[in-house]
Amino acid sequence: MADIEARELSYTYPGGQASVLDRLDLRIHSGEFVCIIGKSGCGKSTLLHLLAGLLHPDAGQLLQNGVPVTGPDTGRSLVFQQDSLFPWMTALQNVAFGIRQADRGLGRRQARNRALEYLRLVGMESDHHKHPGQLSGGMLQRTAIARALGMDADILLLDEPFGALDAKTRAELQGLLCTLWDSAGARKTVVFVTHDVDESILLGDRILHMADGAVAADIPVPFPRPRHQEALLYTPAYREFRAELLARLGDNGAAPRLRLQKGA
Amino acid sequence: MKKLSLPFLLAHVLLMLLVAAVLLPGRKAVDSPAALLVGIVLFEGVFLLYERTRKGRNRHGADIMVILWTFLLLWELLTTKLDRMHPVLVPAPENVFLVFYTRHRELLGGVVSSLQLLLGGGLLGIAAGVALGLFVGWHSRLRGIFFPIAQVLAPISPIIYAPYLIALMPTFRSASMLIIFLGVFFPMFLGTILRVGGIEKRILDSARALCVSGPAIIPKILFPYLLPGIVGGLKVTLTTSITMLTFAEMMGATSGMGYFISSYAHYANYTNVAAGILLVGAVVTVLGSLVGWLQRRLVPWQDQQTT
Repeated sequence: MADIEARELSYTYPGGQASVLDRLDLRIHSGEFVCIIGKSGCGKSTLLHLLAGLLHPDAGQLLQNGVPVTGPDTGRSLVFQQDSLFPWMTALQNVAFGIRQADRGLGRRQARNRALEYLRLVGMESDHHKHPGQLSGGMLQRTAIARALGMDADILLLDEPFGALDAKTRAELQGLLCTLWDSAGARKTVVFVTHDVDESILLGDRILHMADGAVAADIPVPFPRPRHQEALLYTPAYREFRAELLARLGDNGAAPRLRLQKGA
Repeated sequence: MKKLSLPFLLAHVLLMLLVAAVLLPGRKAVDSPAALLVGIVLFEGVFLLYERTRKGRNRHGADIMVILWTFLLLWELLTTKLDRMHPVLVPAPENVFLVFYTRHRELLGGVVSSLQLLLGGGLLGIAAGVALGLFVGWHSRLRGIFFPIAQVLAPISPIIYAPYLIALMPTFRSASMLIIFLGVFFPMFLGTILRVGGIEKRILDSARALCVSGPAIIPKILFPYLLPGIVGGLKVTLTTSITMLTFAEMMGATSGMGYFISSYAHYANYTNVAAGILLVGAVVTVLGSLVGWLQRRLVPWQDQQTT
């Protein structure tokens, strides 16, 4: 069980004027894949930091399974766009370190074996001895995902994890993430922050559109899984849904390129 | 067999000229050239070994040898062969190199004595500077108090108050160790505080999200994260501490490399002085390559990034 509930959640950065989150309400059910989209500065990253327990709300409540979130917990695993891994550890050491932080009773050997297992799962077994400085962006994110999964957290918090990748690698990793999430015995709860509309439709059960520090819209994604990007992109239903989504975002100043596509 | 480069050939032509010059009779009567010849063989041996094992690290080894042989050749020609230099101020290379043999006990004792001070003071300074720097840098209140204080104290070189420290401390050795300690401590302390302040925020967030918290964050995250910078500064630290050391030794020691040089300078024995200076250079070189080796061992992830 890993559902998340936020009630009237507010947050202002120390010394900041306007509140980043303003009485935000949110409910995410156990095993759900929720994408959060919104323009930069809408507070989506801040929300994720609050969910991770790295920041504390000024007001309101944040509950996991009805229990208030008071700080970081290895039951909620965080992946950033970059620099999630420690540069002085190899890929294997990074994953094993996370696993041992989550399960302190585990021996070094066992942690190493489990880390190798998860690195194999993300296709990193042959590069496990390399340091982050030697890995490509895609490989770094594969490793970060392996660490998050290896820690066996109930909740995965992903902050634009594929935002810095090229289109091909991004598509590969989107597929990988979907497969891993789908194939796990008990589905993990995933909160995925992105600014890529296609990504949110492809991955999410539900899309939360954030604006002005609150959830402006809660949109269920109507497409059945497994979703294949290539096939999905050309269906009229997809295009209609996408246009609708962009229209909502467009009111909040989405990128001009997106507006053009909307008109086309 | 790789192609012989032009500098490599030139270096060996110069080497042959040098050996020939040493063996030919000159205008000036000098000591046995045996020690100088052994020195030349050693230089060439180190160079060839370096070329074989470390190909690619520094491709300009042969160029350096050209300069070295030219220098020795000029020295040999101007003193022993043509006798154009002041006989006391510029001793012949034969005589200088022979000092390494005739005075080897004294010199070796000096090196040991100097290294004890250097390692004692230097290692303590590095350890204390890094440990306190990490601790103070991490706690914002301590940083607010001690960073400005250190900024005032750091630029005052211990050389300035060395005479006072020598008077203050019970023994000369403790005074020189303190001088080296202070000379190393402040740059390390300040540098570490600054590096802690510049740590990537996401690394800290990652660490906290993985529940590395409290004091454990200093050894587990801060120290390894900052290690490349700390180790990278070691060569500069080495230079600083050698400067402090030789200076302190010239002030009033009874042993050590600096003492060897200053005491013979009093007697105008510049042959021994020149040998002492060459010895300091040799010791610094050995220590420097030791630090380089240490860097590659301690921070493999940095080395790999650049290759």
